[in-house]
Amino acid sequence: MTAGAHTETGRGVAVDVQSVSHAYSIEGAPLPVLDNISLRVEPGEFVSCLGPSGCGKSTLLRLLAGLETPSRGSLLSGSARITGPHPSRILAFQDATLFPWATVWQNVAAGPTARNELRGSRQRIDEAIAQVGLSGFERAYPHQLSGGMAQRAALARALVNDPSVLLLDEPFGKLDSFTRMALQDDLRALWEEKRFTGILVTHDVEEAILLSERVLVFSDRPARLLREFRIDLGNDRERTSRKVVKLRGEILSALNLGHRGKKREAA
Amino acid sequence: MSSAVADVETGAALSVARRAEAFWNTGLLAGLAWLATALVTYVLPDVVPWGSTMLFAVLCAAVALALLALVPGIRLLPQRIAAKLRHYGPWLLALGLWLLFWEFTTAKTGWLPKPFFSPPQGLIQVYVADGQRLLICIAYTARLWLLGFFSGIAVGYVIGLALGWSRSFAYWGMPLLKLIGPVPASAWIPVTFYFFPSTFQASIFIVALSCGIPVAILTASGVGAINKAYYEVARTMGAGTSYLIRHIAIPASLPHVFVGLFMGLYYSFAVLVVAEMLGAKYGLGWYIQFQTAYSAYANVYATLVIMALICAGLVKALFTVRGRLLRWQQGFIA
Ligand SMILES: Nc1ncnc2c1ncn2[C@@H]1O[C@H](COP(=O)(O)OP(=O)(O)OP(=O)(O)O)[C@@H](O)[C@H]1O
Ligand SMILES: [Mg+2]
Repeated sequence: MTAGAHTETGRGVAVDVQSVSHAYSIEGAPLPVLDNISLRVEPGEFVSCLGPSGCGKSTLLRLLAGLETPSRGSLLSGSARITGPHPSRILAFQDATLFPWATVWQNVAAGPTARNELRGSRQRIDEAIAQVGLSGFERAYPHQLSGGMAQRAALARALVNDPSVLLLDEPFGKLDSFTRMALQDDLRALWEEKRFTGILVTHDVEEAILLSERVLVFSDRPARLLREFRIDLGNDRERTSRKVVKLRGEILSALNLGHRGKKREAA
Repeated sequence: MSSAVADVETGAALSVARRAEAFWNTGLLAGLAWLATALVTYVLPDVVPWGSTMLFAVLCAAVALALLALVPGIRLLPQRIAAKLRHYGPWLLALGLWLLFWEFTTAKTGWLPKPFFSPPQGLIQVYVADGQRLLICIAYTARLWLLGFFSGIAVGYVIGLALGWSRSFAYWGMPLLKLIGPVPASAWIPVTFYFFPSTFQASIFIVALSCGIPVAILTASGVGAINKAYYEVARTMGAGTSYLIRHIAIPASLPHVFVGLFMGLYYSFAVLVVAEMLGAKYGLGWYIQFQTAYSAYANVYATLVIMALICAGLVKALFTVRGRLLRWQQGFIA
């Protein structure tokens, strides 16, 4: 894929989260969601975030996307402070929020269209659609797609912008396990090709292990960073390998501590 | 009769099936009903003279003969037309029975008397005797309606978009719109007389207002109901305000807008009589008032039939446009 027309894209950049706390206000009462979080993601690194439901993972991604400003602390992309949305940082939302009134092609073209770059991007759009295996469905509307195809389309819509930071919020959460496994492999391959900086939120421990080089475990709300696991698997990313199974056990028990003993189906 | 009912239920399936029934049984019943109407009209004397009685009898007989010929002949028609006919068979039967009942209770027995009621031939007589004037009225009303409706929905749509998009616009505009909305059209007459140089423009304004208000309200609510995540998706990809309005607010609100357009279409027709009170010299609304004043109710009914048919045609056209523009919605088959 050719480089994006806009600057600051392509190869991944570092992401820094510096002492970030965030609180929403619900009917006047503050609801603390993130508690003094500091972390750094290296350029081109892929990191997964695990944590109990409602702990604030999506909130962290929204802060990184620039859709929200933190109550305290600061976030950096490269050396620049994040103050608002920028096409170099693309967030793929928890629900595949494809525009139902637009065809697959028009959905994928949304970014270039929005930036008035459609003219030079047609080929890039076709390529992105081909990359996620949706060739032939360019003219389909979202309601004509299966759940997995919709997620693929959403992925293509993100990738076509050639982001240097890709923020993924449970992209495969609602899929059956076979589709999910296939898409996980695809995502891994795409990342290996492009080396964007990836931050993935998921509830699937196996997915986190297989896709990332580092797994971050967060506590219950307000989320603190509890532990991080380095995944040194190299290219040996077999679901059934002994290393993966062992890591899975360790991460699950860390998660369970984070749940303060609450039982939870995490895998 | 029971076989006809069975036909209705299985009609759709049969029309698709390759082994569609050879004879059109519903058509036979419908043909007999129309034939009965023709005979009753021809044989029994009218209580009072209406004119056009023979014409009505001949028309009914012609329909009856066509239907009866189609009972075996439906096989020869193209598939699509035959399926349509089968689909509307029960309606053709009901229509024949209704005409029979109508003819019998008005012209033949006088149970429903003149001038409050008119038999079918009374309406036909109006078209025969006053057809020319009615055509001119249709043209005048068409001009008024086209100008009023299209300017009304254009302005209403723009106001609705602004109300849905801008908080401050909604703060001032929404209460005003809610106050203005329920004011009956006739209450605007004195004001419009003062502000508009000609009565024709005042009439246009009244039609425009009647359809502009529902379009504005529904557009505003449509824009307000849009999932905010769509805007966020676009903003993360570098979208500015113009993209958000053109590519999200406008298409996403379209289903609501069409509800407003349907309401506006009906309201604009309902208000025609009032709009043509303002010194119009021709027009269907004007004609209705004029004939009401003379208790010529047959003319009123005849005009109402014309208006209903035109309105139904416009509703159908609007449905077609909606089908085109909203084929992205679930449940629409392109
Ligand atoms: N816009 C908002 N206004 C107020 N409270 C919010 C808002 N968005 C999220 N919250 C609250 O913040 C908390 C964290 O939400 P968040 O969506 O970040 O959780 P999450 O970790 O992504 O959960 P899940 O795994 O279920 O998706 C929740 O308790 C939620 O109710
Ligand atoms: Mg979430």
